[in-house]
Amino acid sequence: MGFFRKRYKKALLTKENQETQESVSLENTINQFRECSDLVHNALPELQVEYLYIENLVNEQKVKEYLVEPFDTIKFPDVSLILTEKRYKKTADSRSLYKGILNGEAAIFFKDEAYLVNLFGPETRPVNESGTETVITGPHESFNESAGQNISLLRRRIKSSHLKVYKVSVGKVTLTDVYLLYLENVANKDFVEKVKQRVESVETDGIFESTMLVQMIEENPYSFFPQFLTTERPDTASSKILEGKIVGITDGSPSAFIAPTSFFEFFNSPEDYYQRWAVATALRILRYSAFFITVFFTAFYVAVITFHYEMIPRTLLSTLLESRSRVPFPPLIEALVMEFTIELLREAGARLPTKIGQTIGIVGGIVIGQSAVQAGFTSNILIIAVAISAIASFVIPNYIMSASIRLVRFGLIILAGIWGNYGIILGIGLVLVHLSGMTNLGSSYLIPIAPISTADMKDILIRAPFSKLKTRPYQAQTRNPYRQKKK
Amino acid sequence: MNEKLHSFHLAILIYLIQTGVTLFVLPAELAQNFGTNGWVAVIIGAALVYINIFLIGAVYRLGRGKSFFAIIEDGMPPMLSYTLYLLLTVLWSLIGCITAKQYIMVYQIITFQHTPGSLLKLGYDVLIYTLVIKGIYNIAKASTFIFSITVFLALLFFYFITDIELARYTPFLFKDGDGLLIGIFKTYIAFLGFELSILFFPYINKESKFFTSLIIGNLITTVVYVYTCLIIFGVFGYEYLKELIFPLLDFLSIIRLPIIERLENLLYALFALKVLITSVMFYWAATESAKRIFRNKSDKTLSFILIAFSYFISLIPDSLEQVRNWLDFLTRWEIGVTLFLPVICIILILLRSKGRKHADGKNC
Repeated sequence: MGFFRKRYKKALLTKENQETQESVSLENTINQFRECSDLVHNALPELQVEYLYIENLVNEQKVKEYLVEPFDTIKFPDVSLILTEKRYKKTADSRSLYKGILNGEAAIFFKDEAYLVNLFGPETRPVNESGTETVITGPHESFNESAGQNISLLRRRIKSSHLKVYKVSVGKVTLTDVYLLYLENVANKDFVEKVKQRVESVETDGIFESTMLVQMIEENPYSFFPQFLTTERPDTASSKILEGKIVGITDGSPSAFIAPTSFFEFFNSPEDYYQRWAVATALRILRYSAFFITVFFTAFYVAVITFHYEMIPRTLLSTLLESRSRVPFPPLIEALVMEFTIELLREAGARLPTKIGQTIGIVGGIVIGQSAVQAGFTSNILIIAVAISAIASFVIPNYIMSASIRLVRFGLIILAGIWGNYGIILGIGLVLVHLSGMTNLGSSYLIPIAPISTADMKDILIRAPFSKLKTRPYQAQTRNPYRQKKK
Repeated sequence: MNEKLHSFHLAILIYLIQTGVTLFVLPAELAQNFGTNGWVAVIIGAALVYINIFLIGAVYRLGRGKSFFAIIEDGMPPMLSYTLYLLLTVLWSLIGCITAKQYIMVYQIITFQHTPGSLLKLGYDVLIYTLVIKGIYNIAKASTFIFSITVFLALLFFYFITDIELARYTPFLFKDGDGLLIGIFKTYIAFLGFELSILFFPYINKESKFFTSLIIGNLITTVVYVYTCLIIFGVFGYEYLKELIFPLLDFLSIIRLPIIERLENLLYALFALKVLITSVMFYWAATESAKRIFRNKSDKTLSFILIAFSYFISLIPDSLEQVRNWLDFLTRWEIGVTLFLPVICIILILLRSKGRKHADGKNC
């Protein structure tokens, strides 16, 4: 098998080399793009000029300005004069010529020479409000699918020449541009190099989303948990750059990824910094409480009802018994069915248009809430437990983390059904062991708790007043740890 | 091996290795052996441990951070050192295993009378294995997290402040006890686990503040033991305590909150995480020791073999009484180890430095 794989790889490499070695000529280029109906081929025989471009990638105005008008008004000998202008780049490499055309450039053939001129400018989605990271106070802009637009949103916020933008092309077929942004005088050089190296080493045919790319560069690909924070908000991304972290922007993706990231960052919202510190701290505590409720509430219900009835106070016991008296299933099955139904409703609501999504919510609510109880299919108390868990899961600001946590919850419910409280604790232990072994760019995923960093606690577990947030996060291992003047 | 243990993690790790199921039986043992105000004996036990810690600190300083295994191998013939490693591997893996078994058996008494203990133990061993193979640095990280979860339990004890009666403390010290000597011995056992720190030398640096961290770690354990025993003596009184087997469990069962009561079950389950660190660290130490004998085997393989081997051994004791007897036997050996290892290391270091001086003198 190894022998055949080697031969296949060799054949591929040879083919690639042949493509590189191809001479730059109009015929070869047309042949390369044969059967591409969106390829525009124009010939100006009196000037001995022919040009090619892909009409869906270019801006009409630029075509007029850089192609039509200059060549319309001149005579043959002046063509070479025009082509000496800076925007026309001569190329002798067929691969860069094809790449240029695919990137929205026009290939101009004059005599035996080829030139590229950038006409890129397809229609993009305007800057809108973020659909997944909404805030009440603070900026409402969010990234869109244009990397250029996204970088401009960051550049407008960080007006510093230290903000570096490193470009990498990822995907052999898609040639997606990935931009790594960082503050040269703040970011840790090793981290920057690591991210560059990892993104450059991705070998795949294509990527379409930042969240897809990060799964190819993370250290624990089998983990349930996201290891890179992703955001659609330019204010979040800029604040992370200022913290000394690296932000990655993928062309075609409205999310930027941030490295390195700790587990606790997924529970922060940009609004924490726009609110008063006390309110923001209360919100953070609320979110961590929501996390505990999401993970444990249903599991704990199953454990108590199955094994530990003695833990229920007498006043509550009669209500519980009455509620469960008509249910024919064991608590574990009952809880799993309900959690599964809630997930069905959530998924259906997320995929359907808003108006129909609301109907699903109402139908689901009535059917599950009323009918299931009346039919003796489930108990009232479990519906409350499952509903509270579901609501709590949506309090977690990061959708990817919230989805991972919901998945972990299923495991805990099953363990609670098998071994009660002991099962839950075993489950927590397994998650904890897993989390403690996780790293992001080599730094711990559990910073600031493990390893301990008391300075960072002020901006992770609570949000201290700005006068107390003088240092950059320890995890960023920055060269310039102070973000405020030392007094 | 770039990562080093931070002093905070080191202190927490020491505390978590030391505490475990012992906390649940310690007040009763203190009452039985010391009688009135038996909680004071915790301080005596802690003082004895400090002597031992000084010895380990001396090994670190005299050996200039040289690893325990390197000291032994430099000064002992291979056969002797291999025999020592084999003994340590068996002893430490059995202590790790029986500690976990004791926890499981107590839990079985509370809740799962009809579930096979071997099955519960198997689940626990899977957890132990996943953590052991992560290495000391990740074990320390996990222990910091576990500490932050369990430290809040101490706050629960404030629930009992109003139940404390000063008269229960009595004005007498160590009256009506069964035996001071056996009591001190048992109290000392409650602190065991710190001796594993002799294996930490390659994982620490100057910033780890090894000696200070050991002292702080043992201090945390002492404070937790004193605090718990003091309150339990104040609530139950020493006479009633003598009748109890797991006073802390009875103590926690009194807690009643508006939506939940009989918290002892949940809180004891939470103790699984504390016991986890104790077991994991003993298995880790056993693996480190076994690694010196079977050098071509990976850590994962050795840990697996040790955990699997000791799991089958743990099936032999089938009652809590037998488990306690096993633990008594193993901890007696462990006390010997806690004294023997630092002393032998110091002797070997001194002999070697003397030999070197002698050789240098000859060369001159």
